[in-house]
Parts: sequence; C-alpha cells; structure tokens
Amino acid sequence: MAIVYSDSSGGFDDSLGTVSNSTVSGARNATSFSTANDSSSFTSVGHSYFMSSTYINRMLLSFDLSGESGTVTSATFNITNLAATSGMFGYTNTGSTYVCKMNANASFPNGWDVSHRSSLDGVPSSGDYTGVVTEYATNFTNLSSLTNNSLTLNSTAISDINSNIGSGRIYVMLIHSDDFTYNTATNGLGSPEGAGFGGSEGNRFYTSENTTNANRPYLDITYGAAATTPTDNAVFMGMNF
Amino acid sequence: MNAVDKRIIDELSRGDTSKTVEDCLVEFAEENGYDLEDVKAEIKRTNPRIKTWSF
Repeated sequence: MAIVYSDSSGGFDDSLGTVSNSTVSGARNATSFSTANDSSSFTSVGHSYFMSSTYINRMLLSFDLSGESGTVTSATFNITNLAATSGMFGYTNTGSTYVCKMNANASFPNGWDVSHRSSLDGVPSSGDYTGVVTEYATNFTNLSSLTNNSLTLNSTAISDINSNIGSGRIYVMLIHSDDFTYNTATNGLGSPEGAGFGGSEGNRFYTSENTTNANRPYLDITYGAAATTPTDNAVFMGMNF
Repeated sequence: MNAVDKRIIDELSRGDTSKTVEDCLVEFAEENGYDLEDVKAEIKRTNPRIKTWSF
C-alpha cells in the first residue's frame, strides 16, 4: 500500500477555481475560471450569489505518481470536509460532491491555468453532466459535521492511475451537485440556500496546505501481489531438494 | 473595534488571536473566490449604521 498526497507546492498545488458571472449560465458554462487560488488551508466547492453575480467554486487536485511503481488493484480517494458554520460568514453544507476526472492540458503541462476548467473529461458546453462527465467515484453526501470522506475509486480511475504510475499524474476536479446537475431551480445555482454571506452552500475541504497530514487530500493505493518467482528444485548430491 | 469588526474576528479568526480584521477578510475572500474589495464594500453596504471601520 502507498499514500500519495495531493501536490502541495509547484504548479499543480491543489487549488480553488472560481467563476463569477452576472448570469447563471455564464458562470456554469464558462470555459475558463475567473480566478484561481492555491494558498488557502481549505477551500470551498459549491456556489453563492454575491454582488449581483453567481459564483461557482470547484476544487482542482493533482496526484503525482512518478515516485510509485507496480500495478494498482484498488485505491481510495480521501478528503476531509469542515463542519458547517453559522453566523454572518456562515457556510451551509448541502447536496453532494462529485469526484471527476480531468485531462492533462497540453498547453500548460507544468501547472494550473484558468483554462483547466475545460480539461474536465467529457465536459459538454451546457446541461447536466450526469453520464457525460467522467467520474472517478460515487458522489458523496456533504455532511454538516467534520468528516473524513473515503471514496473507493472506480475502474476508470484505477486504469488512469496505472497508466501514470512511475511517470505522471492524475488530475481531479471536485464539483458540487447543483453545479454538476445544472440545478437552476430554487436553492440551486443563482439562488443558494445558505444563510451566511452570499448564501454560500456546498462544502469546504482541507487542502494540501493543512498542517495535519490526516486532513490533507490523499490517495491510498493498494498494489497487487508481486509476481512470484518460479521455484526450481535443485538437484544436490543426487537428492531432489 | 465596531460590532461588525468583532463578529469578523469571532467568526473568521478560528481562535488565532494574532489575526487582524484585515487578515480574516483576506482569507475569507480567498477561500470563497471573492474579490477582497468587493467583500469589504458589501459588509459596509449591509451595515449602514456603522460609520467607522477598521478596513
């Protein structure tokens, strides 16, 4: 088994990607992020409505597999969310979070760029992402309490991990359910149900900047058994050992 | 420190007594993808009775 933490420095340090736009469709279907930030010890995955604009936040993660070797048979993706908060700056934990595949961006091989929003595998120009965007795991419910979420990665993720073992990375984008399903009804995008500043809803997750290792996003990888070396019997002094 | 400044510290400092109101707002803006000046303007707009601010 091996633990691979998300990148905590360099160009692929885990990051918040935000889009803000005066229209819901403009925010949801943007091909580039408006801003990106990788310095916080936690970040949000969700949406809000602030200064007459819809804000949609997604989290970008990279896992460097170049130091690994072997054939992976299973893996979990682990990420810790913060508890919901109340008050003027409260954050309301709602819906679920989707764990989605991102492709490498050939134009930016050494780090994130705002254009990585379009690197979401299978992303359509609009509409519900269900069955269209590639998921690496079953989406998980955003609980109100501090929770260590451990998700079993699916065969697509395992295949991508094995393709990059010893040489490359896999990239993950976390997306809130209202964003993923393009929910524009009441309490959806453009009318968030949170009670705090901007009505923020979704979830907040610790990043690789967190000083507690257990809180940092990581992959827990299980390798298959090493190939067994055939045992040949040696003939010694006329005896077959 | 006015009442809103105090709420900012109470809610956003996470117990770190070294953080100023400005520190808290910078972090809050970063964590939510907001522009810092927009956050400050919105706080002032929604609290019109307060005349003196620390930011």
